[in-house]
Amino acid sequence: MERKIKTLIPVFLFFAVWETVARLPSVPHYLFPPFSKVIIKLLEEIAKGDLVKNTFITLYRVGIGFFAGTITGIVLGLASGISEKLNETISPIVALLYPIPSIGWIPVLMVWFGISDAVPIIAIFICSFFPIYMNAVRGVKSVDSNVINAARTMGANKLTLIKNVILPLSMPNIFTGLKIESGMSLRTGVVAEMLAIPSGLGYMLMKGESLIDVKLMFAVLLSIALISVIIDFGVKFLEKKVLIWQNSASK
Amino acid sequence: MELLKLKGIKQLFPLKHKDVIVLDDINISVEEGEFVALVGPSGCGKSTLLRIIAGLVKPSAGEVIFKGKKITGINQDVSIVFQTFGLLPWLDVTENITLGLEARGMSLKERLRKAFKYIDLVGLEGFEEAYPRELSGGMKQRVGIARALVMEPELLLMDEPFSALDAFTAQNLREEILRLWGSGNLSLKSIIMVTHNIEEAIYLADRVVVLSTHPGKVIGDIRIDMKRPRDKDSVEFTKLYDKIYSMVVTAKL
Ligand SMILES: Nc1ncnc2c1ncn2[C@@H]1O[C@H](COP(=O)(O)OP(=O)(O)OP(=O)(O)O)[C@@H](O)[C@H]1O
Ligand SMILES: [Mg+2]
Repeated sequence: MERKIKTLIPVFLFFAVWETVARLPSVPHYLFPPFSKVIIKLLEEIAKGDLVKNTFITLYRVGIGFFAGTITGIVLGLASGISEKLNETISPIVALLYPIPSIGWIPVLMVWFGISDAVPIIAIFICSFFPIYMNAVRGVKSVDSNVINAARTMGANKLTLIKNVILPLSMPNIFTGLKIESGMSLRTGVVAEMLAIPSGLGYMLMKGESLIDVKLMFAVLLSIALISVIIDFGVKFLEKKVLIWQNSASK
Repeated sequence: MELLKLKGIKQLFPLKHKDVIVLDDINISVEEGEFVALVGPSGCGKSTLLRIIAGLVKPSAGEVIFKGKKITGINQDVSIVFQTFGLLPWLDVTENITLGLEARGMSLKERLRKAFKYIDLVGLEGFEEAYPRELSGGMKQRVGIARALVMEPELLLMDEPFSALDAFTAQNLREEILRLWGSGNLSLKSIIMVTHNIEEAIYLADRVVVLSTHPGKVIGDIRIDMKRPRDKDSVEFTKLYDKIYSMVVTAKL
Protein backbone atom coordinates (compact mmCIF):
# COMPACT_ATOMS: atom_id res chain seq x y z
CA MET A 1 0.00 0.00 0.00
CA GLU A 2 2.76 2.40 1.00
CA ARG A 3 4.53 1.64 -2.28
CA LYS A 4 1.40 2.45 -4.26
CA ILE A 5 1.13 5.83 -2.58
CA LYS A 6 4.79 6.46 -3.36
CA THR A 7 4.24 5.90 -7.08
CA LEU A 8 1.19 8.16 -7.02
CA ILE A 9 2.96 11.16 -5.48
CA PRO A 10 4.91 12.10 -8.65
CA VAL A 11 1.70 11.74 -10.67
CA PHE A 12 -0.12 14.20 -8.42
CA LEU A 13 2.87 16.49 -8.57
CA PHE A 14 2.73 16.32 -12.37
CA PHE A 15 -0.95 17.29 -12.39
CA ALA A 16 -0.28 20.13 -9.95
CA VAL A 17 2.50 21.55 -12.14
CA TRP A 18 0.26 21.21 -15.17
CA GLU A 19 -2.56 23.05 -13.41
CA THR A 20 -0.23 25.86 -12.25
CA VAL A 21 1.48 26.36 -15.60
CA ALA A 22 -1.84 26.40 -17.47
CA ARG A 23 -3.15 29.05 -15.11
CA LEU A 24 -0.24 31.44 -15.75
CA PRO A 25 -1.79 34.66 -17.14
CA SER A 26 0.11 34.42 -20.45
CA VAL A 27 -1.11 30.89 -21.28
CA PRO A 28 -4.34 30.79 -23.35
CA HIS A 29 -6.70 28.05 -22.04
CA TYR A 30 -7.90 27.03 -25.47
CA LEU A 31 -4.34 25.93 -26.34
CA PHE A 32 -3.27 24.56 -23.00
CA PRO A 33 -6.23 23.92 -20.66
CA PRO A 34 -5.61 23.32 -16.94
CA PHE A 35 -5.90 19.80 -15.57
CA SER A 36 -9.10 20.60 -13.65
CA LYS A 37 -10.86 21.80 -16.81
CA VAL A 38 -9.79 18.66 -18.66
CA ILE A 39 -11.26 16.54 -15.89
CA ILE A 40 -14.52 18.49 -16.08
CA LYS A 41 -14.54 18.00 -19.85
CA LEU A 42 -13.83 14.32 -19.33
CA LEU A 43 -16.83 13.99 -16.99
CA GLU A 44 -19.04 15.94 -19.41
CA GLU A 45 -18.05 13.66 -22.27
CA ILE A 46 -18.69 10.60 -20.14
CA ALA A 47 -22.11 11.98 -19.20
CA LYS A 48 -22.90 12.67 -22.85
CA GLY A 49 -22.12 9.04 -23.57
CA ASP A 50 -19.82 9.79 -26.47
CA LEU A 51 -16.58 8.97 -24.74
CA VAL A 52 -17.94 5.78 -23.22
CA LYS A 53 -19.33 4.60 -26.53
CA ASN A 54 -16.10 5.31 -28.41
CA THR A 55 -14.01 3.73 -25.67
CA PHE A 56 -15.99 0.54 -26.04
CA ILE A 57 -15.63 0.66 -29.81
CA THR A 58 -11.85 0.95 -29.46
CA LEU A 59 -11.70 -1.76 -26.80
CA TYR A 60 -13.80 -4.04 -28.99
CA ARG A 61 -11.37 -3.65 -31.91
CA VAL A 62 -8.30 -4.00 -29.71
CA GLY A 63 -9.86 -7.00 -27.96
CA ILE A 64 -10.58 -8.88 -31.18
CA GLY A 65 -7.29 -8.06 -32.90
CA PHE A 66 -5.27 -8.76 -29.78
CA PHE A 67 -7.04 -12.02 -29.01
CA ALA A 68 -6.82 -13.31 -32.58
CA GLY A 69 -3.15 -12.25 -32.87
CA THR A 70 -2.28 -13.85 -29.55
CA ILE A 71 -3.98 -17.16 -30.26
CA THR A 72 -2.52 -17.38 -33.77
CA GLY A 73 0.90 -16.41 -32.41
CA ILE A 74 0.80 -19.05 -29.70
CA VAL A 75 -0.45 -21.83 -31.98
CA LEU A 76 1.97 -21.09 -34.82
CA GLY A 77 4.79 -20.37 -32.38
CA LEU A 78 4.33 -23.70 -30.59
CA ALA A 79 4.12 -25.51 -33.91
CA SER A 80 7.31 -23.87 -35.18
CA GLY A 81 9.05 -24.50 -31.88
CA ILE A 82 8.22 -28.19 -32.11
CA SER A 83 8.74 -28.75 -35.82
CA GLU A 84 12.11 -27.59 -37.10
CA LYS A 85 10.81 -27.90 -40.69
CA LEU A 86 7.95 -25.51 -40.03
CA ASN A 87 10.30 -23.16 -38.19
CA GLU A 88 12.64 -23.10 -41.15
CA THR A 89 9.69 -22.21 -43.38
CA ILE A 90 7.96 -19.58 -41.27
CA SER A 91 10.79 -17.86 -39.43
CA PRO A 92 12.45 -16.24 -42.47
CA ILE A 93 9.09 -14.78 -43.49
CA VAL A 94 8.55 -13.51 -39.97
CA ALA A 95 12.06 -12.02 -39.92
CA LEU A 96 11.19 -10.13 -43.09
CA LEU A 97 7.76 -8.86 -41.99
CA TYR A 98 8.32 -8.21 -38.29
CA PRO A 99 10.42 -5.03 -38.76
CA ILE A 100 7.62 -3.34 -40.73
CA PRO A 101 5.81 -1.01 -38.32
CA SER A 102 2.29 -2.37 -37.97
CA ILE A 103 0.86 1.11 -38.59
CA GLY A 104 2.61 0.99 -41.98
CA TRP A 105 -0.05 -1.50 -43.05
CA ILE A 106 -2.93 0.87 -42.34
CA PRO A 107 -2.89 2.72 -45.72
CA VAL A 108 -2.83 -0.63 -47.53
CA LEU A 109 -5.68 -1.96 -45.42
CA MET A 110 -7.65 1.24 -46.11
CA VAL A 111 -7.37 0.62 -49.83
CA TRP A 112 -8.37 -3.01 -49.42
CA PHE A 113 -11.23 -2.62 -46.95
CA GLY A 114 -12.36 1.01 -47.17
CA ILE A 115 -14.03 2.40 -44.04
CA SER A 116 -14.30 -0.79 -42.06
CA ASP A 117 -13.58 -2.28 -38.65
CA ALA A 118 -11.29 -4.63 -40.50
CA VAL A 119 -8.64 -1.91 -40.82
CA PRO A 120 -7.90 -1.35 -37.11
CA ILE A 121 -8.54 -5.00 -36.25
CA ILE A 122 -6.11 -6.36 -38.82
CA ALA A 123 -3.49 -3.74 -37.94
CA ILE A 124 -3.80 -4.76 -34.27
CA PHE A 125 -3.66 -8.42 -35.26
CA ILE A 126 -0.39 -7.82 -37.10
CA CYS A 127 1.19 -5.98 -34.20
CA SER A 128 0.10 -8.64 -31.68
CA PHE A 129 1.04 -11.66 -33.69
CA PHE A 130 4.78 -11.16 -34.17
CA PRO A 131 6.06 -10.69 -30.61
CA ILE A 132 3.90 -13.57 -29.41
CA TYR A 133 5.05 -15.84 -32.22
CA MET A 134 8.74 -15.09 -31.65
CA ASN A 135 8.49 -15.55 -27.91
CA ALA A 136 6.47 -18.75 -28.18
CA VAL A 137 9.15 -20.27 -30.45
CA ARG A 138 11.83 -19.17 -28.00
CA GLY A 139 9.77 -20.62 -25.15
CA VAL A 140 9.51 -24.05 -26.74
CA LYS A 141 13.22 -24.07 -27.58
CA SER A 142 14.09 -23.31 -23.99
CA VAL A 143 12.16 -26.29 -22.58
CA ASP A 144 14.53 -28.78 -20.94
CA SER A 145 14.53 -31.73 -23.36
CA ASN A 146 14.75 -34.09 -20.40
CA VAL A 147 11.34 -32.98 -19.14
CA ILE A 148 9.97 -33.93 -22.54
CA ASN A 149 11.87 -37.21 -22.53
CA ALA A 150 10.61 -37.99 -19.03
CA ALA A 151 7.01 -37.30 -20.03
CA ARG A 152 7.38 -39.46 -23.14
CA THR A 153 8.79 -42.44 -21.26
CA MET A 154 5.87 -42.09 -18.86
CA GLY A 155 3.50 -42.57 -21.75
CA ALA A 156 2.46 -39.01 -22.61
CA ASN A 157 1.11 -38.78 -26.15
CA LYS A 158 1.81 -35.84 -28.40
CA LEU A 159 -1.25 -33.83 -27.41
CA THR A 160 -0.71 -34.31 -23.65
CA LEU A 161 2.91 -33.41 -24.14
CA ILE A 162 2.06 -30.13 -25.86
CA LYS A 163 -0.82 -29.25 -23.55
CA ASN A 164 0.66 -30.30 -20.22
CA VAL A 165 4.40 -29.86 -20.67
CA ILE A 166 5.47 -27.68 -23.57
CA LEU A 167 2.76 -25.01 -23.39
CA PRO A 168 3.05 -24.39 -19.63
CA LEU A 169 6.86 -24.36 -19.77
CA SER A 170 6.71 -21.83 -22.63
CA MET A 171 4.34 -19.56 -20.70
CA PRO A 172 7.00 -17.30 -19.16
CA ASN A 173 8.26 -16.44 -22.65
CA ILE A 174 4.75 -16.06 -24.01
CA PHE A 175 3.97 -13.56 -21.28
CA THR A 176 7.06 -11.57 -22.22
CA GLY A 177 5.51 -11.26 -25.68
CA LEU A 178 2.08 -10.45 -24.24
CA LYS A 179 3.47 -7.60 -22.18
CA ILE A 180 5.13 -6.09 -25.24
CA GLU A 181 2.13 -6.37 -27.50
CA SER A 182 -0.68 -5.36 -25.15
CA GLY A 183 0.47 -1.73 -25.03
CA MET A 184 1.31 -1.77 -28.73
CA SER A 185 -2.16 -3.01 -29.64
CA LEU A 186 -3.93 -0.04 -28.10
CA ARG A 187 -1.53 2.42 -29.75
CA THR A 188 -1.92 0.77 -33.14
CA GLY A 189 -5.70 0.75 -32.75
CA VAL A 190 -5.84 4.46 -31.93
CA VAL A 191 -3.64 5.37 -34.89
CA ALA A 192 -5.74 3.24 -37.23
CA GLU A 193 -8.87 5.00 -36.02
CA MET A 194 -7.26 8.40 -36.51
CA LEU A 195 -6.50 7.59 -40.10
CA ALA A 196 -9.15 5.24 -41.27
CA ILE A 197 -12.47 5.25 -39.54
CA PRO A 198 -14.91 7.77 -37.99
CA SER A 199 -15.40 6.07 -34.62
CA GLY A 200 -13.37 5.13 -31.58
CA LEU A 201 -10.95 7.10 -29.41
CA GLY A 202 -8.65 7.81 -32.35
CA TYR A 203 -11.54 9.41 -34.19
CA MET A 204 -12.40 11.54 -31.14
CA LEU A 205 -8.83 12.87 -31.17
CA MET A 206 -9.22 13.87 -34.81
CA LYS A 207 -12.57 15.48 -34.04
CA GLY A 208 -10.87 17.50 -31.29
CA GLU A 209 -8.27 18.58 -33.79
CA SER A 210 -10.79 19.74 -36.38
CA LEU A 211 -12.77 21.69 -33.73
CA ILE A 212 -9.52 22.99 -32.21
CA ASP A 213 -10.83 21.58 -28.94
CA VAL A 214 -7.65 20.88 -26.98
CA LYS A 215 -9.66 20.10 -23.85
CA LEU A 216 -11.39 17.28 -25.68
CA MET A 217 -8.10 15.93 -27.03
CA PHE A 218 -6.55 15.98 -23.56
CA ALA A 219 -9.61 14.25 -22.13
CA VAL A 220 -9.27 11.49 -24.74
CA LEU A 221 -5.52 11.18 -24.18
CA LEU A 222 -6.10 10.84 -20.45
CA SER A 223 -8.62 8.07 -21.11
CA ILE A 224 -6.13 6.27 -23.34
CA ALA A 225 -3.48 6.52 -20.61
CA LEU A 226 -5.93 5.15 -18.07
CA ILE A 227 -6.95 2.23 -20.32
CA SER A 228 -3.27 1.39 -20.95
CA VAL A 229 -2.58 1.26 -17.25
CA ILE A 230 -5.59 -1.00 -16.70
CA ILE A 231 -4.58 -3.36 -19.55
CA ASP A 232 -1.03 -3.50 -18.26
CA PHE A 233 -2.25 -4.26 -14.79
CA GLY A 234 -4.56 -6.95 -16.17
CA VAL A 235 -1.76 -8.72 -18.05
CA LYS A 236 0.54 -8.61 -15.03
CA PHE A 237 -2.23 -9.93 -12.80
CA LEU A 238 -2.89 -12.76 -15.25
CA GLU A 239 0.81 -13.55 -15.39
CA LYS A 240 0.98 -13.81 -11.63
CA LYS A 241 -2.01 -16.17 -11.61
CA VAL A 242 -0.78 -18.36 -14.46
CA LEU A 243 2.88 -18.47 -13.47
CA ILE A 244 2.30 -18.90 -9.77
CA TRP A 245 4.75 -21.83 -9.81
CA GLN A 246 7.55 -19.52 -10.93
CA ASN A 247 7.48 -16.97 -8.18
CA SER A 248 6.12 -17.48 -4.71
CA ALA A 249 7.17 -20.32 -2.46
CA SER A 250 3.68 -21.51 -1.58
CA LYS A 251 0.50 -22.56 -3.28
CA MET B 1 18.31 -64.46 -18.35
CA GLU B 2 19.11 -61.73 -20.81
CA LEU B 3 17.02 -58.61 -20.24
CA LEU B 4 18.41 -56.29 -22.89
CA LYS B 5 20.44 -56.80 -26.01
CA LEU B 6 21.79 -54.07 -28.25
CA LYS B 7 22.61 -55.41 -31.70
CA GLY B 8 24.77 -53.36 -34.03
CA ILE B 9 23.39 -50.01 -32.88
CA LYS B 10 24.53 -47.16 -35.08
CA GLN B 11 23.50 -43.54 -34.79
CA LEU B 12 24.12 -40.78 -37.31
CA PHE B 13 23.34 -37.13 -36.78
CA PRO B 14 23.20 -34.75 -39.71
CA LEU B 15 25.87 -32.08 -39.58
CA LYS B 16 26.22 -29.21 -42.05
CA HIS B 17 27.99 -31.06 -44.85
CA LYS B 18 27.93 -34.71 -43.95
CA ASP B 19 26.48 -36.94 -41.27
CA VAL B 20 28.55 -37.59 -38.17
CA ILE B 21 28.62 -41.09 -36.78
CA VAL B 22 27.97 -40.74 -33.06
CA LEU B 23 27.53 -44.41 -32.21
CA ASP B 24 28.93 -47.23 -34.29
CA ASP B 25 28.22 -50.93 -34.02
CA ILE B 26 27.30 -51.02 -30.34
CA ASN B 27 26.71 -54.55 -29.07
CA ILE B 28 25.91 -54.83 -25.39
CA SER B 29 23.95 -57.42 -23.52
CA VAL B 30 22.54 -56.84 -20.03
CA GLU B 31 21.46 -59.73 -17.81
CA GLU B 32 18.57 -59.64 -15.40
CA GLY B 33 19.82 -58.43 -12.04
CA GLU B 34 22.82 -56.66 -13.50
CA PHE B 35 23.95 -53.12 -12.70
CA VAL B 36 25.88 -51.74 -15.68
CA ALA B 37 27.80 -48.47 -15.65
CA LEU B 38 28.53 -46.68 -18.92
CA VAL B 39 31.56 -44.41 -18.99
CA GLY B 40 33.29 -42.53 -21.79
CA PRO B 41 34.47 -39.10 -22.88
CA SER B 42 32.01 -36.24 -23.10
CA GLY B 43 30.06 -36.23 -26.32
CA CYS B 44 30.71 -39.89 -27.14
CA GLY B 45 26.99 -40.64 -27.27
CA LYS B 46 26.16 -42.05 -23.83
CA SER B 47 22.96 -40.06 -23.43
CA THR B 48 22.02 -40.85 -27.00
CA LEU B 49 22.46 -44.56 -26.26
CA LEU B 50 20.18 -44.32 -23.22
CA ARG B 51 17.55 -42.57 -25.32
CA ILE B 52 17.82 -45.33 -27.90
CA ILE B 53 17.39 -48.01 -25.22
CA ALA B 54 14.29 -46.21 -23.88
CA GLY B 55 12.87 -46.03 -27.39
CA LEU B 56 12.89 -42.22 -27.40
CA VAL B 57 15.21 -42.18 -30.41
CA LYS B 58 15.11 -44.63 -33.28
CA PRO B 59 18.65 -45.73 -34.11
CA SER B 60 19.92 -45.26 -37.66
CA ALA B 61 20.74 -48.95 -37.71
CA GLY B 62 20.65 -51.91 -35.36
CA GLU B 63 18.13 -53.35 -32.95
CA VAL B 64 17.14 -53.02 -29.34
CA ILE B 65 15.93 -56.37 -28.05
CA PHE B 66 14.13 -56.34 -24.70
CA LYS B 67 13.21 -59.70 -23.15
CA GLY B 68 13.64 -61.27 -26.54
CA LYS B 69 11.42 -58.81 -28.38
CA LYS B 70 12.49 -56.11 -30.75
CA ILE B 71 11.58 -52.66 -29.41
CA THR B 72 9.94 -50.09 -31.65
CA GLY B 73 8.70 -46.93 -29.97
CA ILE B 74 8.74 -46.16 -26.25
CA ASN B 75 9.57 -49.13 -24.07
CA GLN B 76 6.98 -49.16 -21.28
CA ASP B 77 9.18 -51.31 -19.03
CA VAL B 78 11.96 -48.75 -18.91
CA SER B 79 12.19 -45.57 -16.82
CA ILE B 80 14.82 -42.83 -16.86
CA VAL B 81 16.35 -40.67 -14.15
CA PHE B 82 18.02 -37.47 -15.38
CA GLN B 83 20.85 -35.33 -14.10
CA THR B 84 18.62 -32.24 -14.31
CA PHE B 85 15.69 -34.07 -12.65
CA GLY B 86 13.14 -33.01 -15.28
CA LEU B 87 10.35 -32.30 -12.80
CA LEU B 88 7.31 -30.19 -13.65
CA PRO B 89 7.53 -27.05 -11.49
CA TRP B 90 3.80 -26.45 -11.13
CA LEU B 91 3.10 -29.93 -9.78
CA ASP B 92 3.81 -30.96 -6.20
CA VAL B 93 5.82 -34.06 -5.29
CA THR B 94 2.83 -36.41 -5.34
CA GLU B 95 1.52 -35.02 -8.62
CA ASN B 96 4.93 -35.28 -10.26
CA ILE B 97 5.22 -38.89 -9.18
CA THR B 98 1.73 -39.90 -10.29
CA LEU B 99 1.87 -38.18 -13.67
CA GLY B 100 2.78 -41.32 -15.59
CA LEU B 101 0.23 -43.46 -13.73
CA GLU B 102 -2.46 -41.04 -14.86
CA ALA B 103 -1.38 -41.57 -18.45
CA ARG B 104 -1.80 -45.30 -17.85
CA GLY B 105 -5.40 -44.70 -16.84
CA MET B 106 -5.03 -45.76 -13.21
CA SER B 107 -7.71 -44.60 -10.73
CA LEU B 108 -6.91 -41.74 -8.36
CA LYS B 109 -7.04 -44.00 -5.30
CA GLU B 110 -4.65 -46.50 -6.83
CA ARG B 111 -2.35 -43.70 -8.02
CA LEU B 112 -2.11 -42.22 -4.54
CA ARG B 113 -1.54 -45.61 -2.94
CA LYS B 114 1.35 -46.26 -5.32
CA ALA B 115 2.73 -42.73 -4.93
CA PHE B 116 2.82 -42.95 -1.14
CA LYS B 117 4.54 -46.33 -1.31
CA TYR B 118 7.38 -44.91 -3.39
CA ILE B 119 7.48 -41.63 -1.48
CA ASP B 120 8.16 -43.76 1.60
CA LEU B 121 10.72 -45.91 -0.21
CA VAL B 122 12.84 -42.96 -1.29
CA GLY B 123 12.47 -41.15 2.03
CA LEU B 124 10.28 -38.23 1.02
CA GLU B 125 7.68 -38.57 3.80
CA GLY B 126 6.41 -35.17 4.85
CA PHE B 127 7.17 -33.64 1.44
CA GLU B 128 4.15 -35.04 -0.41
CA GLU B 129 2.74 -31.59 -1.09
CA ALA B 130 6.00 -29.69 -1.54
CA TYR B 131 6.79 -28.07 -4.86
CA PRO B 132 10.10 -28.71 -6.66
CA ARG B 133 11.36 -25.17 -5.95
CA GLU B 134 10.99 -25.88 -2.23
CA LEU B 135 13.27 -28.94 -2.41
CA SER B 136 17.04 -29.31 -2.31
CA GLY B 137 18.81 -30.95 -5.24
CA GLY B 138 19.02 -34.25 -3.39
CA MET B 139 15.30 -34.18 -2.63
CA LYS B 140 14.50 -33.35 -6.25
CA GLN B 141 16.48 -36.35 -7.37
CA ARG B 142 14.61 -38.51 -4.87
CA VAL B 143 11.42 -37.34 -6.58
CA GLY B 144 13.03 -38.17 -9.93
CA ILE B 145 13.84 -41.69 -8.69
CA ALA B 146 10.38 -42.21 -7.18
CA ARG B 147 8.78 -40.98 -10.40
CA ALA B 148 10.83 -43.52 -12.35
CA LEU B 149 10.21 -46.42 -9.93
CA VAL B 150 6.47 -45.85 -9.56
CA MET B 151 6.12 -46.95 -13.18
CA GLU B 152 7.46 -50.31 -11.94
CA PRO B 153 10.07 -50.69 -14.67
CA GLU B 154 12.22 -53.74 -15.08
CA LEU B 155 15.09 -51.66 -16.38
CA LEU B 156 16.11 -48.34 -14.87
CA LEU B 157 18.24 -45.95 -16.90
CA MET B 158 20.11 -43.17 -15.11
CA ASP B 159 21.93 -40.38 -16.94
CA GLU B 160 24.56 -38.90 -14.59
CA PRO B 161 21.98 -39.03 -11.80
CA PHE B 162 24.26 -37.80 -9.01
CA SER B 163 26.57 -35.38 -10.73
CA ALA B 164 24.47 -32.30 -9.96
CA LEU B 165 24.56 -33.07 -6.23
CA ASP B 166 27.10 -32.36 -3.52
CA ALA B 167 29.40 -35.23 -2.54
CA PHE B 168 27.58 -36.11 0.67
CA THR B 169 24.09 -36.13 -0.86
CA ALA B 170 25.36 -38.06 -3.86
CA GLN B 171 26.83 -40.78 -1.64
CA ASN B 172 23.58 -41.05 0.31
CA LEU B 173 21.60 -41.51 -2.87
CA ARG B 174 24.08 -44.10 -4.18
CA GLU B 175 23.52 -46.21 -1.08
CA GLU B 176 19.80 -45.69 -1.49
CA ILE B 177 19.83 -46.91 -5.08
CA LEU B 178 21.82 -50.01 -4.12
CA ARG B 179 19.34 -50.71 -1.33
CA LEU B 180 16.30 -50.32 -3.62
CA TRP B 181 17.79 -52.40 -6.40
CA GLY B 182 19.12 -55.09 -4.05
CA SER B 183 15.98 -55.37 -1.94
CA GLY B 184 14.27 -57.65 -4.43
CA ASN B 185 10.90 -56.16 -3.47
CA LEU B 186 10.59 -54.19 -6.67
CA SER B 187 9.89 -55.23 -10.21
CA LEU B 188 13.19 -53.53 -10.99
CA LYS B 189 15.73 -55.99 -12.35
CA SER B 190 18.61 -54.16 -13.95
CA ILE B 191 20.12 -50.70 -13.98
CA ILE B 192 22.17 -48.93 -16.64
CA MET B 193 23.85 -45.80 -15.37
CA VAL B 194 25.83 -43.25 -17.35
CA THR B 195 28.52 -41.50 -15.34
CA HIS B 196 31.71 -39.50 -15.66
CA ASN B 197 32.74 -40.62 -12.23
CA ILE B 198 34.85 -43.79 -12.54
CA GLU B 199 34.92 -44.28 -8.78
CA GLU B 200 31.13 -44.16 -8.73
CA ALA B 201 30.96 -46.66 -11.57
CA ILE B 202 33.20 -49.15 -9.75
CA TYR B 203 31.46 -48.57 -6.44
CA LEU B 204 28.01 -49.34 -7.81
CA ALA B 205 28.17 -51.49 -10.90
CA ASP B 206 28.63 -55.17 -11.72
CA ARG B 207 30.11 -54.18 -15.07
CA VAL B 208 31.69 -51.05 -16.41
CA VAL B 209 31.35 -50.55 -20.16
CA VAL B 210 33.78 -48.03 -21.67
CA LEU B 211 32.89 -46.15 -24.84
CA SER B 212 35.31 -44.36 -27.14
CA THR B 213 34.50 -41.20 -29.03
CA HIS B 214 34.22 -40.29 -32.74
CA PRO B 215 32.63 -42.66 -33.27
CA GLY B 216 31.36 -44.13 -30.00
CA LYS B 217 32.36 -47.79 -29.82
CA VAL B 218 32.62 -50.24 -26.96
CA ILE B 219 36.33 -50.45 -26.13
CA GLY B 220 36.09 -52.12 -22.77
CA ASP B 221 33.74 -54.21 -20.68
CA ILE B 222 35.12 -54.76 -17.20
CA ARG B 223 33.49 -57.04 -14.67
CA ILE B 224 33.57 -55.78 -11.07
CA ASP B 225 33.54 -58.85 -8.86
CA MET B 226 33.97 -57.11 -5.51
CA LYS B 227 31.53 -57.76 -2.66
CA ARG B 228 29.33 -54.87 -1.55
CA PRO B 229 29.75 -52.56 0.28
CA ARG B 230 32.96 -51.88 -1.59
CA ASP B 231 36.00 -50.34 -0.01
CA LYS B 232 37.22 -47.48 -2.19
CA ASP B 233 40.66 -47.65 -0.59
CA SER B 234 41.23 -51.34 -1.21
CA VAL B 235 43.96 -52.51 -3.58
CA GLU B 236 41.44 -54.21 -5.83
CA PHE B 237 39.37 -51.03 -6.16
CA THR B 238 42.44 -48.93 -6.94
CA LYS B 239 43.64 -51.38 -9.56
CA LEU B 240 40.27 -51.35 -11.30
CA TYR B 241 40.22 -47.59 -11.11
CA ASP B 242 43.62 -47.28 -12.79
CA LYS B 243 42.65 -49.77 -15.47
CA ILE B 244 39.40 -48.03 -16.39
CA TYR B 245 40.93 -44.58 -16.07
CA SER B 246 43.64 -45.39 -18.62
CA MET B 247 40.98 -46.81 -20.95
CA VAL B 248 38.91 -43.64 -20.76
CA VAL B 249 41.99 -41.55 -21.40
CA THR B 250 42.91 -43.55 -24.52
CA ALA B 251 39.25 -43.40 -25.57
CA LYS B 252 39.63 -39.68 -26.03
CA LEU B 253 42.47 -40.07 -28.51
N1 LIG C 1 19.34 -34.55 -31.82
C1 LIG C 1 20.63 -34.39 -32.17
N2 LIG C 1 20.96 -33.83 -33.35
C2 LIG C 1 22.24 -33.66 -33.71
N3 LIG C 1 23.29 -34.02 -32.95
C3 LIG C 1 23.03 -34.58 -31.76
C4 LIG C 1 21.70 -34.79 -31.29
N4 LIG C 1 21.75 -35.37 -30.07
C5 LIG C 1 23.06 -35.51 -29.78
N5 LIG C 1 23.84 -35.05 -30.80
C6 LIG C 1 25.31 -35.08 -30.85
O1 LIG C 1 25.72 -36.40 -30.57
C7 LIG C 1 26.88 -36.40 -29.79
C8 LIG C 1 26.67 -37.25 -28.58
O2 LIG C 1 25.75 -36.63 -27.69
P1 LIG C 1 25.38 -37.25 -26.28
O3 LIG C 1 24.60 -36.23 -25.56
O4 LIG C 1 24.77 -38.57 -26.48
O5 LIG C 1 26.81 -37.41 -25.62
P2 LIG C 1 27.20 -37.82 -24.13
O6 LIG C 1 28.17 -38.91 -24.22
O7 LIG C 1 25.99 -38.04 -23.33
O8 LIG C 1 27.93 -36.50 -23.65
P3 LIG C 1 28.05 -35.92 -22.16
O9 LIG C 1 29.01 -36.79 -21.46
O10 LIG C 1 28.62 -34.55 -22.39
O11 LIG C 1 26.69 -35.91 -21.58
C9 LIG C 1 27.20 -34.97 -29.48
O12 LIG C 1 28.24 -34.56 -30.35
C10 LIG C 1 25.94 -34.23 -29.77
O13 LIG C 1 26.24 -32.95 -30.24
MG1 LIG D 1 25.09 -37.02 -21.69
